[in-house]
Amino acid sequence: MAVAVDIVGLVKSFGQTKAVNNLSLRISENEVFGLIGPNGAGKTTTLRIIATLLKPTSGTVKVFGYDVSSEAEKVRSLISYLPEESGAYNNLSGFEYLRFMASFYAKDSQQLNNLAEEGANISGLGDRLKDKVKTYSKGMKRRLLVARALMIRPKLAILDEPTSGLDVFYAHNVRDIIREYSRKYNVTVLLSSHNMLEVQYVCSRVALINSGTVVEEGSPTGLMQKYGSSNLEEVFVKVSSFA
Amino acid sequence: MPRALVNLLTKEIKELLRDPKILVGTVLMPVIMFGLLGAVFSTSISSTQEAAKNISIIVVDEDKGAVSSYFKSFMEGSPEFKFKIYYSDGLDDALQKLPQYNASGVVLLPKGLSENISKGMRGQIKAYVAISTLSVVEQGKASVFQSFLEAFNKVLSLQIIAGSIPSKDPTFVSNPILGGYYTYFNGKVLDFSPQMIFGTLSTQVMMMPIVIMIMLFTTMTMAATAVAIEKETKTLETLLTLPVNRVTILVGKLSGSLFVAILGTISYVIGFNYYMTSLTGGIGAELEKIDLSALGLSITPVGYALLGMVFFISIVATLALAVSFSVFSEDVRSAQTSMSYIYIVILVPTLLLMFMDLNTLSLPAQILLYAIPFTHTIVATKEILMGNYTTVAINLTYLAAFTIVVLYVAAKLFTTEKVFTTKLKFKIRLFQRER
Repeated sequence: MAVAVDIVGLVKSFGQTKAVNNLSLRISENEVFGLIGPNGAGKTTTLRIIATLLKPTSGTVKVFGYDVSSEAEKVRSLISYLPEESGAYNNLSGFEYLRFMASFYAKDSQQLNNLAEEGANISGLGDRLKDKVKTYSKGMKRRLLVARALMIRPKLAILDEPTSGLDVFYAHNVRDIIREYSRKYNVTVLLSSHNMLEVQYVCSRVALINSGTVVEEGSPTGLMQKYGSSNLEEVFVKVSSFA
Repeated sequence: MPRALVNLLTKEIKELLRDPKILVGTVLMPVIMFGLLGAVFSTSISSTQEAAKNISIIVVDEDKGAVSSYFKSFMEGSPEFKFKIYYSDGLDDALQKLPQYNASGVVLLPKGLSENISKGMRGQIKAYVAISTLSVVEQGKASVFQSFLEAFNKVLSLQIIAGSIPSKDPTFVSNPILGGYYTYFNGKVLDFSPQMIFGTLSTQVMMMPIVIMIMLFTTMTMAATAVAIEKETKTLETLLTLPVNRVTILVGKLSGSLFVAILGTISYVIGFNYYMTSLTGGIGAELEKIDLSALGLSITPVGYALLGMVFFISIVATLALAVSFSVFSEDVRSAQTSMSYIYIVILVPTLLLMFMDLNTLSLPAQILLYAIPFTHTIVATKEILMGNYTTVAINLTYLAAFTIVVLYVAAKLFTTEKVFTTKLKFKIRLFQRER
């Protein structure tokens, strides 16, 4: 299977602080891969580097063979990034926002309409899509943003806490959509989450990150067996206490 | 225009114009504010003129002589001043009757007025003007008394001259010299007084620096807001991961801000022009009759092209400066605070050059001012009018060089991770105590 993301010896420093420290990771095409770790472990920094927003201090990061530093524009044409703290344009309607985002990927007006319609369906916001984004609740905004990230069917979807701020029902719905999109449209998904249940449910493989480096990696089932745990949360606690 | 740029530009314009603060504060407010001010002034002027036509006056004639008699007949028959006249026997009685007659004042013709004049001595007429409010209308009424007494003084003076020197024309004796004022400009004698030329220039051309200043301020605020809003609403990260060249994103932002700034400036010019017209009225109309091309002060097609270039380059420089500063701001408020530092750099040369000649300043002050790029914007607009295109070329070269450098810096900043990793705090520390 082709390699979607290949990270070798990644280091990212902000002044004296090393946010990512010699991190190596390989994600295969069509995988749903989860990054787990405590606050400040380096998950978001890693995702931002893959999304071409930050540059590595050292090491290499490749997305489908393209280097995130020297071939950033090529990488951007393959990815869709959903930051943890993200917003939409307050003075556009939800549907205008989806059309605006889709316009950068659509080749013609027919495709643009199709992408925007798909986004509208994923969001599940119905008639509220006609209203301005500034009238949306936090959960509604998140639904719009998840829809934006998935509607274009990217080669790689980078989702930082995709269900953050969503209610139980829609969070469940989003997890299903992520799995369905990955399977149906060959979308590779890299997500980070604090919700171990979510990771266990959605991801085929996970990496546990602590202090900027990978401390454990494998399938959720394999890790639970290895550490004699009934869920990923226990695995995480055990791995963290060993580290 | 590339499709991505069109999409970005459309989004920028929608976002900015749908923001009530920007739509009302920047685009609609100038035309509303100046329109209202102009309407208030023109209403006030016309009501003052109307009120001055219908003034009631109480006359107290203690003199009862030839001059007071002539004064009263002049007052009753004056086509210019139409008074409603009441008479009273004494000053105290007249003052008490002011409310009853709704009169604006009392004119006292004191005893001995005619006798003094006949003896060749100055006489005095006393006017007691009643003020009930501090309005413009009341001020207008008050000035009518003065104007009328001056008019009577002139007529009386001509009569005295006619009686004293019957062989001479009284108007000649009272005003034997007629002043003729011309202007020598650019090697030509012009048939206009310098005051008329300055008057014309001030209404037609001196407004230009103000318009430029407003345009630059508006543009800068727009650009800073457009970038900072992306950071404040956490949309910048997503925007910068789209498959679009980041310079295109930057150009989209700059163009959107420029479009809204132009709307704001048009609104300002329309509003300000209406306000000025309502203030100057007839005087302005008279002065505009001077043909600037006859004075060599009209702008040629080349001049217009240069003026357009000066405007465009200055605005691009301002936009680039605003973006360079605002990428480091965390939110709109912080971005707008950072802009206040650039406002000063624009405000100082604009105000100085509106009232002063740069050459009259000391050499260090001149060097300092010429180092500010926006000085060249103001200087160039003046020099274009004077036809000094060599100076304009130098101004343009400096402006262009500065713009290229700032644009390069803005593009560099926008394409690096510094957009996310660098945060400058723009705080005015004056009066702030460290905690």
